[in-house]
Amino acid sequence: MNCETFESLMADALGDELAPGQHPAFDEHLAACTTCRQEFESLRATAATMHSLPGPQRVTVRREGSRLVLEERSDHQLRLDASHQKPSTAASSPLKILRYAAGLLIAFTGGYGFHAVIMARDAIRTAETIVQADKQDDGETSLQGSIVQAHSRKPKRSDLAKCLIAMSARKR
Amino acid sequence: MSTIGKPPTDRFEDYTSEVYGWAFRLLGRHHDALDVVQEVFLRWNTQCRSAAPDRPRGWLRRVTLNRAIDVRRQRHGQAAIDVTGDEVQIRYEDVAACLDHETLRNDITLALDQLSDVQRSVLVAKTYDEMTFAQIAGELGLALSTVKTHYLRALRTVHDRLQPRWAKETPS
Repeated sequence: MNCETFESLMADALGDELAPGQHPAFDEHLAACTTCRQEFESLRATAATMHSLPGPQRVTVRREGSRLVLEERSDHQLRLDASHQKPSTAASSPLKILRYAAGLLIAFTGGYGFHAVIMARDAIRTAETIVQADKQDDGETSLQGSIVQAHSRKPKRSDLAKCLIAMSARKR
Repeated sequence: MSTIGKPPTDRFEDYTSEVYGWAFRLLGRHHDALDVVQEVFLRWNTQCRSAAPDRPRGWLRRVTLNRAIDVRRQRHGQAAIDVTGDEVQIRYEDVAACLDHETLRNDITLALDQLSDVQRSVLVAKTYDEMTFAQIAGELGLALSTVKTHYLRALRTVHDRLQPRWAKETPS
């Protein structure tokens, strides 16, 4: 490799983008040519010095109406955050969500089941009342009339469809 | 990052942290960096009223660096440590290190001031944003070889500017 080729690869080498196949020839020239080595070392030192300049620790952006508000976290705040943060918090976040979801599902299913049991019990009771009324009236009151009557007595808690099913089961 | 179809304010919001980071890197003070962000935001809105920049990130980096250099120039001769009201913001445990960083920041900013807009953008994108040459070429709409040439020239200029600093550090 001559100095001209070395020069053309210098940017890649300084930017850590030199292809693996180019390393041996580049290193060989670097070791052999003093001028190129000095140039390369000085530029590498410059890049490293620039890189050593500290940037912001952390900045959060939030919006207040039409204004953008940026807040920097100081070293002290960062230390406080670190001491208050539990080590497993980040890892357990999805687990927490799953746990909450499972809890909600169980509560919903349980609530719905309880409601269904209450409704079924009410339906059976209503059906029994209607059947008894039918027996007492000795067939004078029509079945449909009894249902409508029962339904109007307890419009919220009686379920017409369930009444019919329960009644047909009882009558059989 | 999809910014198509968003109003200018929202599109700026996507880059706010980066704008702040570029400004802070050169200024080293939270409040000065915030001032630069606000000014860049105003310029962004003005620009978007006529025509939104094709390459927003490149545009914002260029404008932010220029503005930060202006602020640094205006600040020349002021105290190195940021004093805001009764709150003294010393972000480092070692005050000497703080002052050293401040001097370095000053030297680097003045060195960047010597560069052209494109050279400055390429150098900052490579050093602080850690982008590859191909990414920089895509963002700035330049050829890959041109980007590498700009990078080398920029590093050489910064090196020449920092030379007295190194000579002072290592007396022969």
